[in-house]
Amino acid sequence: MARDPLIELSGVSKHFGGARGPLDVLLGRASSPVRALDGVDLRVGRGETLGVAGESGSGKTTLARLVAKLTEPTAGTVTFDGTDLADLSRADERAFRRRVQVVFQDPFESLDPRLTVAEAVAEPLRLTDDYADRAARRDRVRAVLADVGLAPASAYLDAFPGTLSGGERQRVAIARALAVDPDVLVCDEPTSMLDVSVRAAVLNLLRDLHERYALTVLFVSHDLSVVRYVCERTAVTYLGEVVEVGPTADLLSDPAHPYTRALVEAAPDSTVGARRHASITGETPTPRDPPAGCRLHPRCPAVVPPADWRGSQDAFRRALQFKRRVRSEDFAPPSTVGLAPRDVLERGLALDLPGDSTPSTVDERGERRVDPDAFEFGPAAREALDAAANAVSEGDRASALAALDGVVESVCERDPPVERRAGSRRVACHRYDDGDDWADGGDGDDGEAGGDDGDDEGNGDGDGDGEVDGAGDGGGGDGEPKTG
Amino acid sequence: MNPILELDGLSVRYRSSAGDVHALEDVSLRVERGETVGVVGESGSGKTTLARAIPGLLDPAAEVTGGSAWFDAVPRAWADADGDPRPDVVSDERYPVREDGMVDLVALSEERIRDLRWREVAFVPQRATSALDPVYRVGDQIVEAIRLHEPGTTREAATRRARSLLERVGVLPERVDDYAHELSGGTRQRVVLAMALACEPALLVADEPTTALDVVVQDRVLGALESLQERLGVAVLLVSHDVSVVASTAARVVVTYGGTVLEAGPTADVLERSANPYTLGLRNAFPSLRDTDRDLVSIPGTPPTLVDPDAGCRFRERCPFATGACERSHPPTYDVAAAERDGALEETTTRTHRSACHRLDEVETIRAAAPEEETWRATR
Repeated sequence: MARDPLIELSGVSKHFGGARGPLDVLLGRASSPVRALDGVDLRVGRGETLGVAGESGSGKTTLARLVAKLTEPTAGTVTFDGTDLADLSRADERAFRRRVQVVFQDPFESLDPRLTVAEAVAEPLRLTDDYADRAARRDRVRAVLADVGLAPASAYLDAFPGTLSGGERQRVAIARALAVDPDVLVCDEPTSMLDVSVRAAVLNLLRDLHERYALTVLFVSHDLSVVRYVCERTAVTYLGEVVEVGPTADLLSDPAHPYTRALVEAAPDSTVGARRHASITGETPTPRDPPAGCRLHPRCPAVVPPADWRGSQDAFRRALQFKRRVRSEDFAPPSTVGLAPRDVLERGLALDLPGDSTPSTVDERGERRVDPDAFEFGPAAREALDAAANAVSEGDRASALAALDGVVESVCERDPPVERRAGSRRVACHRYDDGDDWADGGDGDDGEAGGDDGDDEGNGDGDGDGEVDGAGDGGGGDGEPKTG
Repeated sequence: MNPILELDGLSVRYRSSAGDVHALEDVSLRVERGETVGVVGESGSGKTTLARAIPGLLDPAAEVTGGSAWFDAVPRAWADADGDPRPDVVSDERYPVREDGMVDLVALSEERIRDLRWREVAFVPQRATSALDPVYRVGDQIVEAIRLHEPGTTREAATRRARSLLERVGVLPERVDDYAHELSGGTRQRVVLAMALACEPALLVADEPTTALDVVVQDRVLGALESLQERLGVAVLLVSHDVSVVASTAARVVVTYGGTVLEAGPTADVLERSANPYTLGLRNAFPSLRDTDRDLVSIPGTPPTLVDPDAGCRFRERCPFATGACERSHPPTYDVAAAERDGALEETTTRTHRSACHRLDEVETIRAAAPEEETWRATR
């Protein structure tokens, strides 16, 4: 990063609820805190707009709250302008509170309904000595209301939040944040509650303010299209970790991390009738007990095969999933005892993917089945899978796992990936361990992954160029009266 | 062949102390068998009222003040052995059944609509949690639903169907024995989808079925919906605030605003050759993942409140193209092709591309001006 960092997170973790509850004690359970954020390193340059994108439970809101010192890290340090936030003196903290302002998701909750617009916007001015007298405060309030496009100010000064629309309220919230002339604006989903026709104005306002006042903006959103519109750089979070960070345009047009790619694929496409499907399986697991190794590996299409894997990437992904099923309750006796080994494989190799083009059938038990011969496994792997399926059908899961040992295993299940440079991005993915750029040439199914050169599957440029829109999740309700 | 659903001038109001809320005003639309129609709208567009009116799930404070919701299936009490309406029912004016056999859903008693709900017209609400009973295992709930509506079905057959449906929507079969609270949000929504379709209804009305979900999960739920629709041939009315969700799943789109239909037609026509100033404005307001050079332009003002609206066009106050005529009356929907061809205003409520705009005869002028930021600034 060219610019010197104004905000720097190093090794930051935030865990919630680490204490053992009475039930845990009673049941002899270890405590399992929610690991909202785990070992995050991130820098925000002076005057930069950094987006933090991720799904719910990814830790993005916790990250924003840590930067604004609304919560303290469990481990690691957050520094602002060179000072560790944990070491702020009282006076420093007062200055920090002025310099870093927060705009929250819900303009309906972030404003005190009993304060007029003028009172709400003037309130943070007490953090400074610059607006000591009434007249100065009033002028300042009028000026920032004009800045956020609430004009004429006189029409808004005495209004209560309850009489304003959602877009107007969010502007008031932004005006309030701007009143004290901050250096940093931390925005947590600032437009997700707003209707589309209104949202654009708030996004334009944020872009405009950033340019006019050289504001540093940390912009948290689940909506990639909004992030793309506002942010120069973006960090993608998954299960409490930053998996990829880099220039927004690069990151979204050619995602380096399989999870970023999945987010881009899943974003609904405004191109009529065209829908691509995310190539990751399942749903985000609980941050209480994240998977070992790379946290994405149970869902990942690009999970790294061992160096001597002779089959295709798709076959390896399925084989690894089969192993996970054998290890989990899915294939526990008695449900699989007595099943023919072939049936075990037919079920165990099926992936839960809406866009999966592999022919599959649904059997009389309602389970998806695929033809094991349709995948390219290589002789050793197929032998191991057959042996494992035999053992499963005899109810012997230990032997099944032993058969797969050394054949179907991945660095991704074992070691957490180290962040590496990949072009303009930094990526936490084992695909980049040897410094190779990775691209799976499209949909991540049948690329040849084998051989000693492991990672390189060709250099397809990713995906099609269909325009991708996202409208966010705002405007759920219909504004109709609730009676009862 | 009859469409599965035909809304004809449907109007719904809520009585409130502040005045009447005109939630739906003269809404007409058709859904053919097996097709997906998307209804998009912002807050206050009336889309949720529309979704709830069809399966007879309106709030008690709501009143249908006009129009009909014709549906191509009759309650069992009025049907002959083949499930068709009995001749004496069709000919008797006391029954809300048309000559072509379609029944007016909004004119049915609670008992009669309950007979059709689930069996013929299913509803999926935004939050799945409320649709699942916390004390039943989710599989049992689906089995019970099937057996309640199809009393002849054996437990084994119903269980098989439940498992197959869950598999179809990508829920692992072992989840069948879970309780609702043990499932993730996306899985719950997929279970509700499977349950709604368990009796193989002819129409599914889904009100923001993916709004509370993350994008990867939304993708999976929409995928599940598509796969079920393909398999069962069910028609879907998909209500959403999200134009891109509708664009990617629906064959036809209805754009609602202020309780009225402003534009409707085949998805490509409505979204790529938009004719209504509101739809054109919405397109300006959308950020895109790819097209980043374009500056967004918002529509000035805010969506209307629907309380005692005046006679004029509902979009008038935010519309840069409004004239005197727009103040006097809300326009009916006109045929877009006719306007494009010879500048004619021909009223229509059929499946063709239509737009409610007094100035549709000047559609090319409006289309040319709509992308300019200048145009929308003028009304501020």
